[in-house]
Amino acid sequence: MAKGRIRPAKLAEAIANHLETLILEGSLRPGDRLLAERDLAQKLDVSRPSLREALDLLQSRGLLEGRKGGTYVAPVLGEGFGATLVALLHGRPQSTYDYLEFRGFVEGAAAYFAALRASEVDRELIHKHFTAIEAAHGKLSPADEADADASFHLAVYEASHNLMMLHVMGSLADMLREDVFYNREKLYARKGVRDLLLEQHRAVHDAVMRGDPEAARAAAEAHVTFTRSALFEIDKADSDLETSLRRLVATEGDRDEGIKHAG
Amino acid sequence: MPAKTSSRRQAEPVTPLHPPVPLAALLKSHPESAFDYLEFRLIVAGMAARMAAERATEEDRVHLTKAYEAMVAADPGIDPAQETDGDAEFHLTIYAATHNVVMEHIMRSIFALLRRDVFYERSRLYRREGVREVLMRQHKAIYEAIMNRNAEAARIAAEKHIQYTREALQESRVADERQGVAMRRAGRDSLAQVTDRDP
Repeated sequence: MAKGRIRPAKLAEAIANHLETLILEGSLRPGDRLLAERDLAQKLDVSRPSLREALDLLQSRGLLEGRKGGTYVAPVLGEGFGATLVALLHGRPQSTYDYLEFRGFVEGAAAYFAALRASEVDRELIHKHFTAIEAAHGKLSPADEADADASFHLAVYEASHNLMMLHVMGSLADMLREDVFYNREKLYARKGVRDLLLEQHRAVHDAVMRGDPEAARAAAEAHVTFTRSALFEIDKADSDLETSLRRLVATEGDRDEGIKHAG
Repeated sequence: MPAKTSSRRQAEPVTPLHPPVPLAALLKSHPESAFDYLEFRLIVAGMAARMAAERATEEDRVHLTKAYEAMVAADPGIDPAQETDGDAEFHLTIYAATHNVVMEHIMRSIFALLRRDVFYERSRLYRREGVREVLMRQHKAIYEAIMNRNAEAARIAAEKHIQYTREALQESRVADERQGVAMRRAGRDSLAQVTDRDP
């Protein structure tokens, strides 16, 4: 506007902008593999050379990456974001509690905004993922329920309609799926925990669905606080077990030493 | 062709040391996302200031004082970047004093985008009439509340700071638009023969 110059937008530029917007709003997610060039060109109703140029443009901006014969949406916060966090957690396992402290607060805000802003489509999606959690609840293996759990939270971030929230919390949710922060199966396997988590998800779901921001915030915060204390208890039980095991190994070792000396 | 080269140059920040961060490119081409950033920051900043007031060690307090004094001493007349960098460093020192390494990492990553002037033209915001003084007063309030270990005051001061930044940015954006309109009106004789209806 300011320059007052009018130029027809190049088709490749327009395609690139379109895809860029889809990535920004989360309609295309990091790790998604784009359709093959020919199919994508057909879908977008553009020529292949223009599409190829647009894809090159997006690759040069770091938004797409070509690997294993496909074109993938790149991690939005950059390769370094996840890698650094993983290294951090490796060096200092108690950072898991830092993650949950941070998340508890932000999760509350996300649920608050979701209750305030969710459109009909958002509500349907949140409801769908919650129904999936319920359906997986009866299964012996907690894997499906844990997956539906992650999708449910992502749908809440989307419904918050804050792009920063979506990308930051979405990146963390992806890492959660890979058990970077803690072992989800172990959490679910804990007696009673799985039932309580279901009820907490229901509380978040209900509050968002009826558009009650304060209740949604409280439910989401309570959910993360609970997860934190449950993990703490599991860790403690594990370390008690480890101590006992170490003691056992130590006495075994002494015996070995004794045998060696005797020999 | 020339249009494409120039827009490409704009899309790529000058950071030869780092690979491009996709989100940086995205946010740059969608200026309205600055308000999503500030909303997100509002959530985190209040909590961080409260935690820093509660948890800062002696060492953190020394760092915070150093960062605060460097920011206040920065002379925008010599180097405007020095002032905005000092501002960022001050806030990062607060995140470090929360002793939550995950939060610190996340906010550090986001600030790295901010330093590349992705979100808003920080130094321009500073140059707006009166804005600098208000921001500095707010920094002082945050700093003092943390040093006094007053968690609630620190939270309130930090939230006020972000809310004000949001309003100032909105004003600045609207002012830019008005400026554009005024300039086009002033230049109307460059596109058409001006026919004044005045007698």
